[in-house]
Amino acid sequence: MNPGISGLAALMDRYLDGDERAFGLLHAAVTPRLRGLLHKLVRDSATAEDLLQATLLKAHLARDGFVVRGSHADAAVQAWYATIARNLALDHLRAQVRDRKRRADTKDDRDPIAELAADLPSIEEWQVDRETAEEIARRVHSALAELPEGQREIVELHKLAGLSMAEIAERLQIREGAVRVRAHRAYKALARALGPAALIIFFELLRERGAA
Amino acid sequence: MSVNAEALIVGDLRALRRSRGRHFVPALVLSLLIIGGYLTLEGLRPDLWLQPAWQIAAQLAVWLLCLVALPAVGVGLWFPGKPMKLALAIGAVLAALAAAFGPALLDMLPGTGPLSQGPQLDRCVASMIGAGMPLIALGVLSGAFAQRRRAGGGLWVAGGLALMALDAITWHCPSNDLGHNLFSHFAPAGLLLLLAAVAGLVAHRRQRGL
Repeated sequence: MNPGISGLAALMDRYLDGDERAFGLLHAAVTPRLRGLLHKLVRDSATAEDLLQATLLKAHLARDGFVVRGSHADAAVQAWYATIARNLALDHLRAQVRDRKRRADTKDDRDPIAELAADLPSIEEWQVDRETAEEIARRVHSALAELPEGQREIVELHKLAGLSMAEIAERLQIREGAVRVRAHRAYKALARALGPAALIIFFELLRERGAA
Repeated sequence: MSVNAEALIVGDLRALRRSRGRHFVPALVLSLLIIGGYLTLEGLRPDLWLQPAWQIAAQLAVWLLCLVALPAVGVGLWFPGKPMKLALAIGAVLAALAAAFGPALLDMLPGTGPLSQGPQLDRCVASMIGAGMPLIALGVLSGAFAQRRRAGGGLWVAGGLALMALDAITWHCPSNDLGHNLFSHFAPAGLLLLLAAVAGLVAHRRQRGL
């Protein structure tokens, strides 16, 4: 049975008291409108579905705060769900804008090694033997020694100690942006000195050793 | 892939119901101990099984209502629809009248003589208040009055507690006198209902932080 808009307040009341059957009916009544609203706002079915699920969960967690103001109790239920859905959709859209802006800002700041990795064969395909690995490691350490202190420190902390950019920034007491800039310059210099392939192999070997 | 919010929420509501059930069962056991202790100490009426069958049936129905059905609605373990709730409320009042008065119920019809007894503080009134107060305290301490979002939910629990005391005194006192049953059984049950409702309202406000 779909109660439509009438009877929503009664269902909500029972749902708030813990009645799962009332929740099922309420869910059936409010989700079609919410799905439509979210789809209109984000214009993507999959995202709208994700946001719908998030709306229901957020409403459930905040259900103790639901109060009816005014005489239109059924409409208040719909308005409450719609407000949560709209806020989530707006947060999502804002995050999307921020993400696009950040990508545009850091377009030239990406890890060149990571970008190259996608186009290169895997570590198994390189079939690196022990002598080659040691030779590469020696060359990498030698190239690292050539780097300015500030850049070398960051590469060592990032790739050898396995710290994130944020953790490095915290440890060195500098801004994360500055860490990224220095890392970017260091990897560029290392790739120039060694060739990107040697650097990737070295880092893969490090990662394997870390995993082992 | 998206999460299934409906399944998660239903799971949460079931967990809430299980948690209420875990509180309800010990409170029910304690209520039975209080009532059982009272009846053991005071003794059952000698004519308990000699009463009319319909009166015994009404008393058993009251036990079922006050121990299980009404508290289950009050604490949010059972969510009957409006018609069922109305039937429960009316059924509880009718069963209580039939259980408490028995054949004397017919004496309430117009044209009967004056009542043999008026309001007075006798042993039955004291017993009912004595047995009813621990039941109300149990209701408050177990959080039974604060389980529902609206304070009105506590009325079901209060009704259950008052009916427990009424049925207990009916199983103890052998009186079939209309005046005695009205003023020393039924009226104290009404008083207990009022006290339990007030205690439930206060407990609801305090325990839900309103």
